Amino acid sequence: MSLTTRLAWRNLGRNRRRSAITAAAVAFALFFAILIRSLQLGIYGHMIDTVVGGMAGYVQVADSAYWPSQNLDVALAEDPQWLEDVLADPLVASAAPRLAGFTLLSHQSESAVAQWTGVDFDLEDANFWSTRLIDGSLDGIDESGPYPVWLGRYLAESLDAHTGDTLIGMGQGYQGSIASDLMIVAGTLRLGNPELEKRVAVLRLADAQAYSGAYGRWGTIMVTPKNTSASIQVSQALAQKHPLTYASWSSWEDRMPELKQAIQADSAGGIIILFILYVVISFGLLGTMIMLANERQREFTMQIALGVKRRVLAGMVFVEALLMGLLGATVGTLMGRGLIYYFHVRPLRLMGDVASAMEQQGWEPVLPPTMDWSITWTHGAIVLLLTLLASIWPIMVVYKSPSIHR
Amino acid sequence: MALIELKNVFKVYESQAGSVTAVGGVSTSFEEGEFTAIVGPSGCGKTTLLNAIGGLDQPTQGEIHIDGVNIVALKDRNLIDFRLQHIGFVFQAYNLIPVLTALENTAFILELQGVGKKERDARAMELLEAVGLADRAHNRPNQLSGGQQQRVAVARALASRPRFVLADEPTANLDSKSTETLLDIMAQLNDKEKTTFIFSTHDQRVIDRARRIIPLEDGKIKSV
Ligand SMILES: Nc1ncnc2c1ncn2[C@@H]1O[C@H](COP(=O)(O)OP(=O)(O)O)[C@@H](O)[C@H]1O
Ligand SMILES: [Mg+2]
Repeated sequence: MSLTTRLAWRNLGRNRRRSAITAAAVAFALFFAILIRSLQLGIYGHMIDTVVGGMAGYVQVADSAYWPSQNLDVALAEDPQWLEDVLADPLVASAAPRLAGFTLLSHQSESAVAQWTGVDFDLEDANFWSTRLIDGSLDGIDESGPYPVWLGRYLAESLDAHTGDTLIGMGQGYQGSIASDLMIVAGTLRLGNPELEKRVAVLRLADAQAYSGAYGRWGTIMVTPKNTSASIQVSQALAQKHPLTYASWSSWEDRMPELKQAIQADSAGGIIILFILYVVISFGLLGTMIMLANERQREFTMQIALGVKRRVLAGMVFVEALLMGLLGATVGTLMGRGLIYYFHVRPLRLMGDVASAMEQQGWEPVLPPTMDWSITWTHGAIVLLLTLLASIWPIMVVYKSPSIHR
Repeated sequence: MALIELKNVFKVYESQAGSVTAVGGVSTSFEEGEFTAIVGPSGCGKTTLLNAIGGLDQPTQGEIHIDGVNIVALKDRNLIDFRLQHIGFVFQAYNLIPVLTALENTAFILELQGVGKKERDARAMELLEAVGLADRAHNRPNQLSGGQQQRVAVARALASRPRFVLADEPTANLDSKSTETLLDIMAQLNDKEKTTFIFSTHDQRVIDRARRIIPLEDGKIKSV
C-alpha cells in the first residue's frame, strides 16, 4: 500500500465519529435516491406496461390512416413473410398482429359497448394472458360452438355475464358489412387498468376476422422491443428495415404524448426532491471536510516542513474522502437495493383515497419498484462526486499551508 | 568549504505595530560534525534563525549557502525537496505523525525518499535501538511519553543521514531526566554517525553539553 493510501486509511480511524457521519450522510443520500427513483421509475414502467405493453404495444405498426379513429376499414393485408422478418430482427422480442373494432354486446337484459380485440395466442406471450385470467381458461374451446370471448372484469360485471354464458354481439363489420354473431364467455380478465377492464373483449384473431368479415386483415401489429425503454429509436430503426405497404411505425410515446408528459412532470418532481437532498448533504459533507482541515492544519504544516510534498498531502485527503465516499456508497447501495428488492417481492399497495384516485385514473394502485441497476450507478456516482468535491476544501488548505507554524 | 555559510542574514517582520527585526545581520558558518547550541533568552531570534537555515522561512536579506547552494534563491517547491534530501528536523513539540508507529515515523523520511521497505525498516530499527526505543517500535505516539516521542523524532531526523540536524529547543517540553537522556543520545549519534547538530536552547544544562556556543542577543551574535 502506498504511503498516501496508508495514511488516508489510518486517518479514517482517527476520528471515527466524523468518518462515520460522513459515510452515513453519503449512505443516506444514496439510499434515498435509490428508493425514490426505483419506485418512481418502477411505477412509470408499470403504467406503461399495463397500458402499452399488453394492449397497445410499445411499438406498433398500423395503416397510416388507422390513428386516431382506429377505423377497421383501413386494416392492413396480412403479410406472413414480413412478420417473420420482423420476428427475426435482433431488436425485437416479440411481434403479433391484432384486429380490433367496436361492437354492442348483450347478455339477457344487459348490454354494453365493447372494444373487441383479436389476439393470436400462439404469437403473443400466452403467459401474459393466462396470468391475467381471473376466471375461465384460454383453451378447452368447443370449435363447433360460438366464438369464445374473454371479457374485461368490469365489462363482465356490467353485462352480468359469467364464464359459460352466451352473448349476442352486433356492430359494424369490415367495409360496411354488419358484424353480428353469438359469443360464449370463456373467461374474465384483470388487465391492471380499470379503463380497459370496462371495455375490452378479447377474441382469437381468426374469430375476430370472421366476426367482422375482415378476412386476411390485420388492424395493428404490436411489437415489443428487447429494450423497452428505447421504443422511439427502435421504432424508427425498424421502420427503415421493415417497410410495409401503407403502414407506418409508431412508438407509444408518439401515440400517447400525454402519458409521456405526465411521467416527465412527475419524474421532475422526484429529481427536485433529490436535488434538495443533495444540496443539504453537500453542506454536511463540506462541514465535515472543513472540520478535518482545521484539525489537521498544524500537521500539514509540520509535514511540509519535513519535506512532504503538498501533492502527497492533497492526495491523502482526497483518498480519505474517496474511502469515506465508497464506504457510504456501499452501505447506501446495500440498504437501497435491499429495500427495493423487498418491495420487488412484496410490492407496496396503496390504500384509501390515493388508491381510489389512482384507480379512477386507470392504474392499479401498486408501487412496484424497478430493479434497474443504472439508478444505483448514476446516483452512486453523484454522491461520490459530491464527496470528492467537498474534499477540495482540505486540499486547498493543504496548498495554502505555510512551511512554518507559529 | 563550510557546510553551512550565513552571509549577513536579516529577518524583519512588518506589521501595523511597526517592524520587528528578529534577526539583524547574522554572518557565521558551520562545519561538518559540529554539535552547536544557539543560545539566548526567549525572543532573541533563535527560532527565526533556525527556520531560515532550515529553509522553512525566507530571510528578508542575506544569503544562506548549504554545500555551496544558496537556498534563499530556491523556489518553494524545490525547497521542500531540498529539506527532504538534506536536512533533519526536530521540533519542540515532537510533531510525530499520530497514525504511524514509532518505527513507521522513524522510517517516514526514508519512505518519502523512496527507499525500499526492507532497507528503511532496518535503518529505522537501528536508530530506534540507538535512542533506546527498540521495544516500542510498534507503539503509536500517544502510547509514548514526551521524552520517548522526542527520541523517536531524533531517530526520524537521523534515519535518512541528513547533512545536518536542526533542533529548535528540543528539550523545552522535557523533564530533566529525559533532557539528560536525549542529550546523551544526541551526543552519541554526533560521535558515532558524525551527524552535525545545530540546536537552540536557553537551558543551562543543555548549554553545558554543547561543543560550540553561538550567543544570540536581539537578533545579533554577541561578540564574546
Ligand atoms: N511572525 C512574526 N511576526 C512578527 N514578529 C515575530 C514573528 N515571529 C517572531 N517574531 C518576533 O521576532 C523576535 C524573535 O522571535 P523568535 O525567533 O521566536 O525568538 P526565540 O525563538 O529566540 O524565542 C521576537 O521579538 C518575536 O516577537
Ligand atoms: Mg523559539
